[in-house]
Amino acid sequence: MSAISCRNLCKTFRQGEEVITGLDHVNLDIEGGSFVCLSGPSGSGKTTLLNAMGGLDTPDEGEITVGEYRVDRLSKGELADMRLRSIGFVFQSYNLIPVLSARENVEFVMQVQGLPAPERRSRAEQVLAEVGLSGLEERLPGDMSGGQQQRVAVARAIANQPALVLADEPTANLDTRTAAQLMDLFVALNRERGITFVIATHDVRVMGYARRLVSMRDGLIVADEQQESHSMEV
Amino acid sequence: MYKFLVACSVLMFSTAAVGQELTADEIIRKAMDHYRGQTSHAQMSMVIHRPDWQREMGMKTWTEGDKRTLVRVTVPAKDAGNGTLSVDGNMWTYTPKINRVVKVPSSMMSQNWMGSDFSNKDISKDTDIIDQYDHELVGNYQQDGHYVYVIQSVPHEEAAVVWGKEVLHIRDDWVMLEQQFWDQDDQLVKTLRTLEIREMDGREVAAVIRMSREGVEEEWTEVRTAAIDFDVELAENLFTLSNLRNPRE
Amino acid sequence: MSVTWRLAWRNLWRHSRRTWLTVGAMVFCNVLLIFLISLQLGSYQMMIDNSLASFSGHAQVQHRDYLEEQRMRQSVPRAAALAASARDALGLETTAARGMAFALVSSEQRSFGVLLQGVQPVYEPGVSTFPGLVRQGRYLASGDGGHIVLGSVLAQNLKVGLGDELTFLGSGRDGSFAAGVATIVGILDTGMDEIDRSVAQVPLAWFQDIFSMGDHAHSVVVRLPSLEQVPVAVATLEGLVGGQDELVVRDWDALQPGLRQAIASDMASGWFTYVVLIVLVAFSVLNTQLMSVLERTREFGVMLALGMRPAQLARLVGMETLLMSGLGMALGVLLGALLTWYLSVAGFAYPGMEELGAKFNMPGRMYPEVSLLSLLWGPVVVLFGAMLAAIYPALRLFRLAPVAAMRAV
Ligand SMILES: Nc1ncnc2c1ncn2[C@@H]1O[C@H](COP(=O)(O)OP(=O)(O)OP(=O)(O)O)[C@@H](O)[C@H]1O
Ligand SMILES: [Mg+2]
Repeated sequence: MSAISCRNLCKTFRQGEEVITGLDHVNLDIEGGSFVCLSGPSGSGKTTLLNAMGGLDTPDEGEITVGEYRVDRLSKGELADMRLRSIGFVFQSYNLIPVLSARENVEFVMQVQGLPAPERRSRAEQVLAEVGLSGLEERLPGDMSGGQQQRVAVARAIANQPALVLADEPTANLDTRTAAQLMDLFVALNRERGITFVIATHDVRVMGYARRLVSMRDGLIVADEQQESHSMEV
Repeated sequence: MYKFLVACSVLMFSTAAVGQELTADEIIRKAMDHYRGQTSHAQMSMVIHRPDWQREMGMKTWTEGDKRTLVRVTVPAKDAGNGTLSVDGNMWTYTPKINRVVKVPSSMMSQNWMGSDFSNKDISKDTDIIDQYDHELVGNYQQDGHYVYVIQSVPHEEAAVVWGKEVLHIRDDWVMLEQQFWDQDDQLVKTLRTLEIREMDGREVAAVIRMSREGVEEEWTEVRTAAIDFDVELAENLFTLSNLRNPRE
Repeated sequence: MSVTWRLAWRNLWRHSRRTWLTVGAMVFCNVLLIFLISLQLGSYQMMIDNSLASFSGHAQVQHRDYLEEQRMRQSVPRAAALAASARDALGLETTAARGMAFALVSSEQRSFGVLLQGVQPVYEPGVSTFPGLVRQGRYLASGDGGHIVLGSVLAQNLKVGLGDELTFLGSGRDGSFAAGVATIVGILDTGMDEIDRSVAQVPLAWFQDIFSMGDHAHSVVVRLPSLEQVPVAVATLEGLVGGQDELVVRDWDALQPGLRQAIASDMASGWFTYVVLIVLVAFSVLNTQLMSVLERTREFGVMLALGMRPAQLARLVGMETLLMSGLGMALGVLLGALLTWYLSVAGFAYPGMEELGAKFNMPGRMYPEVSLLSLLWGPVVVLFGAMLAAIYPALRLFRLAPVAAMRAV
């Protein structure tokens, strides 16, 4: 459904005297419903690319289209709106609001979206069940394991039924087994809901789940290959 | 020689009459003497007028020299016998109701006399103005064939007087036409005007005088002189406290 | 309750000690403000009451021009009867008729002009503190005729004592000569020189006789238990004198115009203290909220990344501040109300105040005024001050960019 299209994306950072290349004329098209991994060594530009797609940061040059949005042309407010309604984010650290329970964390985003209270509650519970957290709805983030917290983050990301989920190193803080469970969840959501996943990682096990693997180095795309995904379910 | 003397004296008299040679002090002196005489005895009435109310009192007055005045109320019956004696700037009041003589303290001299627009001081007809003020002739005009002097009198620095100045209009036959009382801030406070002049006992006398406060002309007090005799023989003890208390008339 | 309010409330308690310290400062400030303001208002109440109680009363029926011109003829007809019907209509004993006349008072040796007051011996003590301040002899009693009570300084000036006779000269209402002789039965000492020098009171009936007043007097004085009752009492009195065009009802403000001004200027002097207190609390709030915003930069970055607007974050900070200062206000008002309520019942006295009160026939303790105004004025301003103080930390959120904020430590 949702397609992502990047044309000639450039982004440089300035750190004192030094000019650091984040993205160097990146061209990339991602079809709706695909499951893509961005790989590459540290500093290769994965996060920069994800942020550009998600409208968190604007590129210096080039065009990005996400679904019907011309991301590079949107105002800050429009970008915030787009993120809120059409994109789900999962970050490396779980980034939950520590004083809110699992359910409240999910509900909070829905409230910001303007959903009426009764609907919020039932949907939050439904989404949390979907990520396998039934019974833990009232737990505070501090009382949950890393994997559980990351599931809450996923629940929060898909609560608004986005067409696209951007995940930046989602498994970096998880042990192997938990990481595998999270990836299985992503694959399931991708299959059942048709959500497009773009995952930045340098975890080789994660890359294994992807059907398309985009490799970066120094802000350039150096390889782009289709592959058989081998999730645990298969 | 004789003729020359007569001519001179006629000349002198006429110049004096025109007033060219008279000083302000002399004019005031003459005006005071004119209305008091050496001695005098008068029948008067006082009318206190207010917009909603009026009251009339009959009284007799006696004066001798500059410093002695006796006023005795005759009408209405309720107030008859009340008297006020003033000698040398001191003032006493007698009231038959309580049969007592009370000295009016000097602090009260500027208060109204019996609700009228005259102050106690005005009633005592005191001639303080002669020696407590400096007089200056500030103008003149003609009126009814008479020559009128306008004199401004300012109290001496140390004089215990409430007024800032007085302005007097005195006719050349020594009838006082107008007396203005100004306060220390140079505001006109009240004016005593002569409304009617009649000849009595061989003199032109201010027969009706009216005191009114500046700005409230509908409130006034008139003193109407019905009859006055000048230079009459007065009993020796007339101006004494015992006479005030026991009127023989 | 929406999630946002819950979030704001819980955020407060992430650093509970810091929050309690700030709330504590607010509570302290609020209690202090409530105490000071109610004491100040109470002291005005006392000032007004004392000054009205001494002589003028809370309201008077007068001739319409009497206040300005004070003329003998500007009188109130059937005054004693009017005072009696006012007593019935108001359900109060504290109503009395009074006559006033300028007179020359003389003793054997001295004479002075005084404003002689004709009073109703039975009712005057209800409308004035003077009768209670008789130090020698007694106050006037019903049945008295040619009897007088006068101020101690006036007695000294006249060189008279109890039992001596004084004569009065003046003019009556009809312009006639008024004169009378009265025996001194009491000498009063208010401690206020200008009053002790001038006050002289005789029974109203005798006064009316001497000054040819008939049944007239110059005012019907009403003293009320409290200032709040003035408007109603004035309306009642106006009903009583309805038909008589020449009569007016004057309240204390018209009778003593200086009083309100004195209060207004005193009120202003208290402000400085209050403003300093409020500014201090506002700074404490500013500090707390700034810290709490700065330490949550990462969290706010994530929220921005999820699509929240900076304005929504600012609202969150505003809600937190509101909850915190609302808590400070609630506790402050509660404690402040308890304290002032206790003091308003038990009274409060500065050292030496009770002796002073006894001396002037006035209450020796002051009672803080517990009213919505005295309870809420301070705390509401503190609340506003706190909200204002939160503006700066909240504004900082508008400068936050999601990526940079998430990278922050
Ligand atoms: N805000 C910034 N300021 C300065 N340099 C930056 C900034 N963001 C990224 N960079 C630099 O841009 C380059 C690309 O960074 P980016 O975070 O996209 O890499 P990455 O592939 O995500 O690396 P990692 O695997 O470590 O997350 C790096 O050299 C990084 O140091
Ligand atoms: Mg990265």
